[in-house]
Amino acid sequence: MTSAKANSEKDILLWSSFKLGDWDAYAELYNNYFKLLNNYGHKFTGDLSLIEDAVHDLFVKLWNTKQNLGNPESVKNYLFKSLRSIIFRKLQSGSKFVGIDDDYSFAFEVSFDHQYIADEEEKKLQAGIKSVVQTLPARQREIIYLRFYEGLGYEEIADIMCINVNSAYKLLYKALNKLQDLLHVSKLSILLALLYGLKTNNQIIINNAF
Amino acid sequence: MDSSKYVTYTLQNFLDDDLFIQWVISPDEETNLFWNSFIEQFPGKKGTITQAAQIITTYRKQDTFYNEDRQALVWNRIEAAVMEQQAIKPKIFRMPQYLRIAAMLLLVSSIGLALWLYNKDRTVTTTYGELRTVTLPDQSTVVLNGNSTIKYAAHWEKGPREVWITGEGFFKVRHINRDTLHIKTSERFIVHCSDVNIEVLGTTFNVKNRHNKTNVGLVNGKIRVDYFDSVLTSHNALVMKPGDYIEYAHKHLVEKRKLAEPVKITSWTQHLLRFSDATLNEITETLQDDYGYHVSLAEPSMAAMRIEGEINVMSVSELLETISTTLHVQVKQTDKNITIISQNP
Repeated sequence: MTSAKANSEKDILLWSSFKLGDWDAYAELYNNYFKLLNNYGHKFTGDLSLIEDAVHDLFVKLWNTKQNLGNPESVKNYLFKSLRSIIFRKLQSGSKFVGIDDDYSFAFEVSFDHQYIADEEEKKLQAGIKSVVQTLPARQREIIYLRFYEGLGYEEIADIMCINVNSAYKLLYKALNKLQDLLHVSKLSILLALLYGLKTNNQIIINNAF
Repeated sequence: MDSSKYVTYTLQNFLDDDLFIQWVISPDEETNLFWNSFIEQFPGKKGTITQAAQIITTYRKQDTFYNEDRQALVWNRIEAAVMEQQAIKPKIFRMPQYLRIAAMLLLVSSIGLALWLYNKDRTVTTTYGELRTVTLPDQSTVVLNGNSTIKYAAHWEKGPREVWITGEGFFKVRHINRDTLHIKTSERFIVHCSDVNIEVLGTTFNVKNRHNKTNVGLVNGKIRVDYFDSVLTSHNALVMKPGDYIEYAHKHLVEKRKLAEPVKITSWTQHLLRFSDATLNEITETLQDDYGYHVSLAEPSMAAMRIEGEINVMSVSELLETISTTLHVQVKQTDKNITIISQNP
């Protein structure tokens, strides 16, 4: 059940073969994480070539330093953390701001004519979530992303964002508070829709309870 | 799995629960069973659970940027970078027997090749915008301007020291004999341009040989320029003294004058762009010849426009700035293409 925290068996195997110089394992790591890394990187910047360069630098550095690499608790975490710091460095060198740490952006984008969302009520909920997320500072946005999108635990999030676990708790707590406020003030119709408008396309929703 | 703690959970608690989030993100048989039976047991929690799940799933329906189109391309770049790194690191390995024999043969033939290379003429060419200092076999030096070539023999033990140049170079020639009246053959130093020959004895001078035109400026020392004059239809020789400047074009000595500050003609060796009372034509020639720009003037008559006084700048962009402000023209630049348009037609 703690699959998010521990390395998957596959990652452990790939990582150790890669460290021994197995080119195929290295390529597989790249192919497994390319999309996720791009998606994560895109949250920080719209500069596509910067993201590509960062992914490129990350993997070239991995190969060149493979003899000195340890065994991270989570390969995914290690890659996310490294990419994040490479992107920050690149953004920093491209701008005049020095203290970028508290001064970065973290995008949350939804197209409203999203094809996956057929339900009117869900669209409203999405609009609500978007409006709340957009009022959050970048750090809180990033935490929500790592939690709800990447399914990471607090310790992993704290590790990636280079903050302590307590701050991670606090940051998410604040963000969740705002989300809850949204739902309290939202119309009853939304809540009713949420309660009864359960769609079969959502595989986690309970069918046998009715 | 213990489900009792979930009985008192609020919406926020569920949104903050690792197991709950894991179930919503990637449900499997085991977790589906757990949560469904929990809801059956505590139907009052169904609303909160549904709401929390809906928030997470809706949040997850955000736009993605997977960049899949570039996945293979970026990989190629990574592969190339890694290969390049590896090529630098030498690998220790044992050669099979047949390879060792092949290596011996290769070694024997490379000795021949090395001998040939040793005696081969040296050629040095610079690209646009590149400056390079070349040390000649007698320890004399030449600073080569961009887009220029010099050629010389690998060894100067016997015979005169000879250099062939196209483009522009600033020579510092080593003295061998200060007695100019008794020069041995091996002490001669000759610079061959396409149309003139310059004979030197220990000196510093600037040679520019472009567009069938040669100009020579002498900083110090003494040189003799040998040329054929088509007007006089005779071979001529001209001895230059420090500060002298000549221009030779189309087989004719066009100009001979004294430079006020001879050092100025070598300003390019410091990467400086320096002009005095220059026409737009002279400036565009430098941009084209030394830096590889393509300059086009909207009207040919603009070539004669002149910037009076001194221009002394460090970069091409500064130079273009100066042109546009002093001549009141519009300068447009895209990469290596520069267009100059008159502002008041």
